[in-house]
Formats: sequence, structure tokens, C-alpha cells
Amino acid sequence: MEIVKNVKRTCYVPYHWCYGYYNTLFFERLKEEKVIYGSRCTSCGKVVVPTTAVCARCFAPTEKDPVPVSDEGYIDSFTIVYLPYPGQPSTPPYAYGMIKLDGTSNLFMHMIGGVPLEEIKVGMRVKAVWNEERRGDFYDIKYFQPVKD
Amino acid sequence: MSRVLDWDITVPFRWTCGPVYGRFLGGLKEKQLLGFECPRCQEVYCPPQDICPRCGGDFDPEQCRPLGEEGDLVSFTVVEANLFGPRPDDEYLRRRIHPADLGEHPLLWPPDPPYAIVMVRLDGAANNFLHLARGEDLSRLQVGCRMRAVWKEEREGFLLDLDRFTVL
Amino acid sequence: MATKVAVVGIGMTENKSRWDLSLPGLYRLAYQRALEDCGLKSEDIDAVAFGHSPEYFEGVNHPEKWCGEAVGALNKPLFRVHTGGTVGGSVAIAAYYLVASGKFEVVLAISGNKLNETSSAQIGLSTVYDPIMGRQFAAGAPSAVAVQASKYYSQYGYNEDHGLMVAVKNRNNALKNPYAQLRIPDYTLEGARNTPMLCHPLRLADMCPTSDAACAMIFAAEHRVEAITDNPAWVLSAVAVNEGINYVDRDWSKPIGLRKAAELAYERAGIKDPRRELDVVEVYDAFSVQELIWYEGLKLCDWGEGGRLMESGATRMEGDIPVNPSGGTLCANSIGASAMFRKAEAALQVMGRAGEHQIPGVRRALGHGWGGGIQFHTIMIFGKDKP
Repeated sequence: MEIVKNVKRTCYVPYHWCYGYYNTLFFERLKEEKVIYGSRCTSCGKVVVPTTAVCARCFAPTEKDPVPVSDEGYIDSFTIVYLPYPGQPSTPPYAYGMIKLDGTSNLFMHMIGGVPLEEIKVGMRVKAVWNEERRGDFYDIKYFQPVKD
Repeated sequence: MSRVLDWDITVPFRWTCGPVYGRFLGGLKEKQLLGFECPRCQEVYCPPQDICPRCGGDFDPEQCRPLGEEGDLVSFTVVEANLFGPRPDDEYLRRRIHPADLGEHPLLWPPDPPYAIVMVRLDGAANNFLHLARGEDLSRLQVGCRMRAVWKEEREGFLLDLDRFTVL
Repeated sequence: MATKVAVVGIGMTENKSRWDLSLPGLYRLAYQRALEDCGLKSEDIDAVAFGHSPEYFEGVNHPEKWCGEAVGALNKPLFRVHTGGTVGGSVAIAAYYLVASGKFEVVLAISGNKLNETSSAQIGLSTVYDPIMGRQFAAGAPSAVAVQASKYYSQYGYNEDHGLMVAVKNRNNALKNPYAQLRIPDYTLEGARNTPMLCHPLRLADMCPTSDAACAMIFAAEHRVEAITDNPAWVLSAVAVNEGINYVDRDWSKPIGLRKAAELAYERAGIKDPRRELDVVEVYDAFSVQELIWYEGLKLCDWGEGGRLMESGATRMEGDIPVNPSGGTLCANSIGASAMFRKAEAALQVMGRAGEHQIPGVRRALGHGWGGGIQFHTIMIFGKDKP
């Protein structure tokens, strides 16, 4: 009699994740205004992106009004993904990184594009390239593209 | 008003059976309901586990024998409503996972209602077998009534090789 | 005053892809080996601390529900602990706390995973990101650490070779460890350089394998230790620290959470100069470059000096501060058990029972673990002498 080795199945679980006030605000403004918004900490005075209720370093509340921030900054770190796997945002090879937007104090993760991958360097200046049709999600920004200083 | 993100987690898996489940599922493929005797407390389990849930003894995959296909209905419930929402179609699933995976890893999904979840104590077994009744007049189900196993035509070594239990 | 606690028994399964055991079967094996190791029986264990990493890595949920009897948790307290990659470390610390509290005398810590049970581990991994802010990039683990690596290399003027040197050291150490998964003879820097680039700057050689494994440790209160073993590993300190994910001015290559954990651990163990006073260290190097960053977090050297410490040879088996003589997480990673393997390996070194990869004369050893967004750090320090 056969000893069955394994059972193969796919699990599918649908969800409805609630954005909450600050995330809703962030994506609505991205779509409507083509502007990235952050929040200023009432204690340390630094600006973090995206908009948030509390500074994750000071645990102090942020100012009530969100702060528009620059869509330019520099690459703090990055990776080029060569490994293909399901659910990826793009077809490898592609680059994404942590971007320090001007005037902010934390890092904003996004794709890096519009440049040959081998030219990407830490410290490079980048600017957001926007999609003309925006749906209120991260890909309202296509990617961040290196620019001259 | 907060926005809501409607999305899903979809992942293909292959779960290892180990020697005890592996033998039990091999039995189902051959239309046999194998009862496993705990070497320590001598209780017979169908379906088995790796470890006896009563005394903590290790089951021996060799220490098993086919039970009959009949037993008593210990308890049941009739599921009338669709508790899972709409079934995603295969084309959508192929986009969410590696396309080649879906053929080998079919979607785990419950049957369309109405169906019954039944707890059957097979003759000679010490535990209850949690399974399905469906495709018949479910109002005939009564605690204590006799049930019999009905097999699928095509079997693969899966719990639903045993298609359902039916009222005798 | 907390009760003094020692590790009295250890059980490990080999790290590999295994299709012979179910998840409860795997836990069972580690559990039985731990009992055999110290001659205890199931009824001698007062309580169980149970660990497993994010369930979606293997398509299960709440596994302690059907794995409890496999680890002897029948009609006794069972506590589930969960902190992602470092879960094995948190479980060991939880078991230590249970005994130190004086409420339990002998407690089992057990944790494991079967990572080979999905063909798409990266989908499972991407579910640990906030679905609204983060999962859109489906980053998985390699690319998240690749971002940490590129920051580290560029900040301090290091390059890919520094990570690959760690890979070569640990893969050669793993040849001496029968529980390691990657045991590749003649592993050279040249060979490592020629492996494919997966997520720049990380190559295949920089990455851990996916393993199925479980690890168990038995902790006992001081007044029970003597009757169980004459060769315990005493717990000198146990610390867990969490830092945030994307807070103001976070530098991914400078783990302040680990530094905080290390300072607390050394203070409690009475250690002033860790490089001199520790005899061996096991760090959670799921990716080669992380070992360099953890050297710095653990104060084995200053910030930015990790690459140079590696170059000096000090962390090799024969160096003055050997790191990962077992081959580390880089040669065996089930996630669920990995952080406990680091603690168990450190304890074995103190007991003098690490086999071929034993460092001579170990009196104090440290085991580390990390999990989550490179944020949860656990440290345990073991000593040969009762504190």
C-alpha cells in the first residue's frame, strides 16, 4: 500500500484591510494633489513620511495638519532584484530602495527606475516620476528616477 | 471615511504527512478506512494522529487494520449559508501564484451549501471522524443514526477520497 | 531575587528538506532527543513554551493546537510565543522566565518550522508586511536585507567580498556540524563570487538555505539541576529588545536595538569587555553581511569595524573570538528553530559537548537571534560556573 508523502493545496483567504485616517489621507492626497504628505512630530519637530499619528521615536503625537514634502531626495540604500518569485511588483531585474526625501527624517521605500540598473549608487539624487492616471496607491508614483544635482 | 483595501493572501503549500497520516491516506486511496492502535493505551483511532491525544504514546504506522465502512452519527450540523464568500476563479488564482502551481495544488475550498459536517464514530474506533454529508436529503440526519462511507471514483491520497458519509 | 536557572538538556533535529516527518513528528523528534539528553521523562516537565514562525510560511495556523501532544504538553501549561525570526530565542527566554519566576521547576522550550512546505516562501514572507504600507513591494526577506547590506557596504567603504568572507568561514565551519544543512567541501571565496546575484549586492552564497528543523532546550531551577546533570550551562543573562521599523533617523546598518540588548546582557552577566570575556559567540546570520553588522551591535568591535574584524581572522574557529563555529544560520535556517539553535549551540559550547566544532576551554558563550523587520533581538549568555 502506498504511503502518501504529502498533500498539495492552495490556500486563498480574502481580506478587507482598513486604512485608517492617516493612510487614507496619504493616498487621497497622492491621487488628488500629486503630492507626498508627511507628519511633523510635536516633540522632536522632525517630519516623517507617510502621514502618521505618532512619532515612532518619541512616541509624541504629530501635528494635526499634514505637511507636504518634496518628491525629491537621495537613495539611502537600494537593491537590484534578480530573483523571480510570484507576487513581485515588476519583472526582474528591477531596483527598489529606501529614499530619504528632502526635509524628512525617515525613509520612504519605492522603486528606482528610468536609469540603467548598473548606474544606481547609494547617495544618488532622485525625483518621483508620477503616473498621469492615479488610483490612490503607491504606484501613483511610477518610480524614483536619478537626477543631476 | 477610511478606505478599505480588498485583497487576499493566496499561497500554494505541500504539507508533509509523516508515516502515520501517510499510511492512512494511502488506505483511503485503496478505499480502506485504517484504524491505528495506540501501542501504549490500545485505543483504536480512525482517523489517526502522530501522537495519541489521550496518553501521548507514539502510533506505529504498521500497527493498523481496516475498519468497516459504517458507524454511528455522534453529532452534526447542516451548513445552510455560504460562509466563505465567492470562490475565486482559476484565472485569478493563476495570476496570484505561480501559474504552474495551480494544477498541482488545487484550491482548498468547501463544497457549496447545503452540506452537513458530521462526526461519525466508526465501528471499532475510539474517536470521531469529522467529515461531510452532502447530495442527499439532509433532514434524514439524526444523532445516533447509522452512516456509511461513500468513495470518490478518482482518488489521490487525500481526505476527500472519502467523498462523504451517507445515512443508511 | 530570581531563581538561578540552567540548561540541562538539548535536542536538535538535523536541518534539511525532509519529507518523512509531519510538523508534529518533527517537534516530537527534537522533544524526545532533549528528554534522552538529560534522562528526564515527559512527566518531569512542568510546562512547555512553544514556538513557530509566521504560520503562513507553511500554510498552517495556530499549530500548537495539534502539536501540543507531540511535545508532551498534555494536561500541563502550554504557552505559545511568537516573534518572527527570533521566535526560537524568545521561546528560550520565556522558558527561562518561567523557571526564574519560581512558579515552575523544569520547563521545556521548543520551536521549529518546515519551510519547505510552500513552493512560494516569498508570498508567505510578504504577508508579514503591513498590507497598506509595505506589502505593495512584496519585498520578501532577501531584498529587505539587501537594502541593509548596500547601506552597510557603502557607508563604511566595504564591498561584496566582506560578506562572502563570512560565507566562506561559516560554510567551512559547518563541515564540522552534523546538524547543518549546507555542508559543502572546498568552499572558496572564488566559488562564492561566482554564484548568481539574487538581490544586489547579495549573491546566492550570501543567503541561508530553507530548512525543516526543530530545536528543544530544557531549563531547570537551581535546586533541581544537580540531580539531573553534573554538566549544566548556567543562564547568566537573557535579554530581548525590540526597535522600530521606520522611525526618525533609523540607520539600517546600525542596530541600536541589538546594542541596547547587548549592553543589558553584559551588565547582568558582569561582563565589561565582551571580546575578551566571551569565549565564543553564535549570531543569527541569515545573510552573510549581517554577521558583520552584529559584531558591531554586540560590541565585539566599534561601529563600522565589522568588516575589518572579519579580515583580521579573529572570528574564525581558531581566532580570539570565534563566531558561529556551528556554521550559523547561514548554513541552516528553518526560521522557527534558528534563534534557538544559536542559544543551544552556545549552551553546548559551555558544556563542552559541541563535538567537532567545540572551541577548547569555553567558560562563557553568547547566543543571539533577530526577527521581524530586522528589529527583534534576543541574547542569552551561558556560563560554566554558577552565577
